[in-house]
Amino acid sequence: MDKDKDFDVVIVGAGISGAITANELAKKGYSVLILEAGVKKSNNYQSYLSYLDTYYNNMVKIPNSPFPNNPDAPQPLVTDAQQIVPGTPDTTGYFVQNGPQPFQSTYTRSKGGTTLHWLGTCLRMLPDDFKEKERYGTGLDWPISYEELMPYYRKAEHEIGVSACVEDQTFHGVHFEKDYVYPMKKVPQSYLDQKLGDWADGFEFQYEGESYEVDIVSTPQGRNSTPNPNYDGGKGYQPVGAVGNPDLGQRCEGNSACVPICPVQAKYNALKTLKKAVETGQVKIWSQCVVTELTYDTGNGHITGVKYKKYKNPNSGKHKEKKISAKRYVLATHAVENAKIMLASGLYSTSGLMGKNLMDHPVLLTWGLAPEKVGALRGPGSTSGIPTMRGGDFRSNFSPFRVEIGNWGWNWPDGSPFTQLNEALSTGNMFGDDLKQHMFELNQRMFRFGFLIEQQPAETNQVTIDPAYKDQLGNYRPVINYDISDHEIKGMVAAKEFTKQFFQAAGIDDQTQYNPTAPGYMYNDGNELWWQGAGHLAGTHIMGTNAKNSVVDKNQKCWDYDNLYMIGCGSMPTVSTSNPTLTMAAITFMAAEQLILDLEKESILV
Amino acid sequence: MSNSSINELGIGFKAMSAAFTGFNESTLQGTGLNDVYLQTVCNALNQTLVEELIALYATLVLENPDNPKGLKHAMRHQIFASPKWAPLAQNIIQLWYTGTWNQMSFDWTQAYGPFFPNDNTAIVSSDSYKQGLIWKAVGAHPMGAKQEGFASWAFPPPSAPEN
Ligand SMILES: Cc1cc2nc3c(=O)[nH]c(=O)nc-3n(C[C@H](O)[C@H](O)[C@H](O)COP(=O)(O)OP(=O)(O)OC[C@H]3O[C@@H](n4cnc5c(N)ncnc54)[C@H](O)[C@@H]3O)c2cc1C
Ligand code: SF4
Repeated sequence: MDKDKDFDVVIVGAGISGAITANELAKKGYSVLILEAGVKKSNNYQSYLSYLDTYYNNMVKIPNSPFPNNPDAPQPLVTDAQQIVPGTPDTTGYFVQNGPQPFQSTYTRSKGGTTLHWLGTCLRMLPDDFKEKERYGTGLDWPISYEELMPYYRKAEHEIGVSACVEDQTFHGVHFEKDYVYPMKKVPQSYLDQKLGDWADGFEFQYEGESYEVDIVSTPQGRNSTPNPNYDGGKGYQPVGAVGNPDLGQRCEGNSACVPICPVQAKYNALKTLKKAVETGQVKIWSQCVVTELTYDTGNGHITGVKYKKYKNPNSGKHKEKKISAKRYVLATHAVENAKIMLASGLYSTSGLMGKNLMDHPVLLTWGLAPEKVGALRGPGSTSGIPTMRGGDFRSNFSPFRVEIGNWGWNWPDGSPFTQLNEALSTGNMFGDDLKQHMFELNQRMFRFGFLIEQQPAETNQVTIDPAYKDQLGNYRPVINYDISDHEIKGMVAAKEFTKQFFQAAGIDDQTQYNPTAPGYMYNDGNELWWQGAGHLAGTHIMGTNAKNSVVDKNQKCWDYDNLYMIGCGSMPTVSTSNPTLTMAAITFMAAEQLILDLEKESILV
Repeated sequence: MSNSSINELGIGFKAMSAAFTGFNESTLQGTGLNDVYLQTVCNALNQTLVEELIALYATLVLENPDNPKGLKHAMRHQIFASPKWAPLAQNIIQLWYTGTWNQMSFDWTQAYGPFFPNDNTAIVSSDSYKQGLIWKAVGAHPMGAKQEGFASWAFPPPSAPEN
């Protein structure tokens, strides 16, 4: 036991949720220890650049490619996933996958967490999303309303530094306080977005007897743009640049590599919040400390300490077992790991819901060749989307979806432009100027849609543990059961029909082709479908109104353990159609507020 | 290999690479990687093979003075339809376009090697990734480098690839 240190709060995980909580506590003078599983990295820019170099030199350019594999704190990779043979768990990667469908999403176990390689899309949820069960009879209701969350959305938008335009975001009932503006003006929409907007002008999607007006709308993004002078009652906003090199990254420069790594940190990552937290002098981060379980007092149900394994060198497996105690505990290791730590501790929750309701956005991609050059592979990954099918009465019938417009050609679905080069050489028999012109004409016209389908909470989609599956340090590997429901499949079918009609209206040559052996391939009623993970892990310790229907309350405090908070997307009862992190950051601010109240109350009692 | 022979071969390699890739010699020179790539190929295979290919290309040029169509026809027949030279020529194009050297196929190695111990698939360097001609060919910039500046993506793309 490290008796020499005395902390008010121990936070497990140095991602965005842990960082925000640490910083809020530190501002109030509380002392905080963050235990982080990832390798020790200093806060200077040079150390960040080493990620960039790893990325340049990595043959496989997937989201986790800049972040070296660490056998002491392994992480899932998108390349691990494959179709699952019924009855045979797939143990290829870090996850043990029981199926029937493979869980394809990933996260990063490095200081800064998954926001190191997120895209930065920062949409709010729709007011309706918070009462989905009440309105549509599907999913679950949140114990909080959109209106209750509004002030916290503002805090989250401030912390992340969101660039957007309020007028563009007022759809499907989303509203803002009078005079509110985002910290920065919207990121300019790509040339592709503008072209699609022209072509789609007046287009209406016809589906099952209904007609839906289609708009191409700018996307709020956690990436620096032009500060809005009207922000904060005219005080303006100062963009936050790269950690250790603040002049860099004051504005997005169009590096087109936001996933997996923004070279200049114009895109928010949690290192920025961590830096502020550490600068208060109240926060310590201990890296290379993998938390394995919590200890608790069976008498009063209080958590009594955190057990962790401190390793020296990520390759040796050598480590020391340690334990530390504090007044309050916060688990912020992201959905899968949070549940895993609780299960490993034998803390199942009265509700029996620990690890259950694992969700993601299955993403269906469709792609085509535009009738003219649209300038693929330039700028941030996505600057616009189509919110049309995010909300509406159809939700009781099929899953809603958001359409993300991709600026990087077919890079996601098929690895463009490299795939086209291979084809041009191997079967196209091209060389010289013909090759160059061909690559230009083809790639310039490429674009893709990504349909983020809302996944319903289902208790059968879950994380469990099994002593048969452990990693090098002897820690549990997550065992995952996962499936896609009919409701979601119907949403995907609607998404394909949307593509068909949109492409017809815009004169786009549909090039969508799915590989029947790829993970996520499905054949449904004459429809070929293919979905992938979005990296939007949610559920696993959902919030609710009582100890029977949920693991945590609306402030993300465990119903069963009064001095433990489980924070992050794992607390979300539904994923809606917005990327989850902004909403998660908002509820994290709420949790931090409650945690501070707890501590204040305790100091009065003492 | 001595520096002087690399220099000489480098000139031939550059001329040949220009015809293979569709980019002119000054663009290739501008990457600063011509000699590095020549060395990469020589290391992975052997210098004799590279010299033979460069010599073959030089002969085709001599045989087709002021006749680009004829040269293209000859290159297609003599190099890009040859079981020996096509895979190597295509690999040199890959090297310039992506900064990656790809291991030759097993069959090819059996036939023309039969053994190249240093022939491994690898990105030559982080610079070679950034200098990949593929980005110029598609009218973009390497993902993660050579950024084009704020809002550049909102403007029309170039009308043609660079020379
Ligand atoms: C490719 C990709 C793109 C994405 N794009 C978007 C987007 O555009 N918009 C959006 O809203 N969301 C996006 N996301 C999701 C977003 O990244 C996550 O929702 C967010 O990072 C979660 O934050 P977190 O702090 O809860 O967890 P994380 O960021 O994952 O941080 C968890 C931290 O805990 C540490 N940790 C893990 N286990 C242990 C342990 N046992 N002991 C100690 N420490 C531990 C980890 O090392 C890490 O530092 C994307 C995700 C991916 C994969
Ligand atoms: S486009 Fe480039 S500069 Fe902008 S956020 Fe993405 S990687 Fe960073």
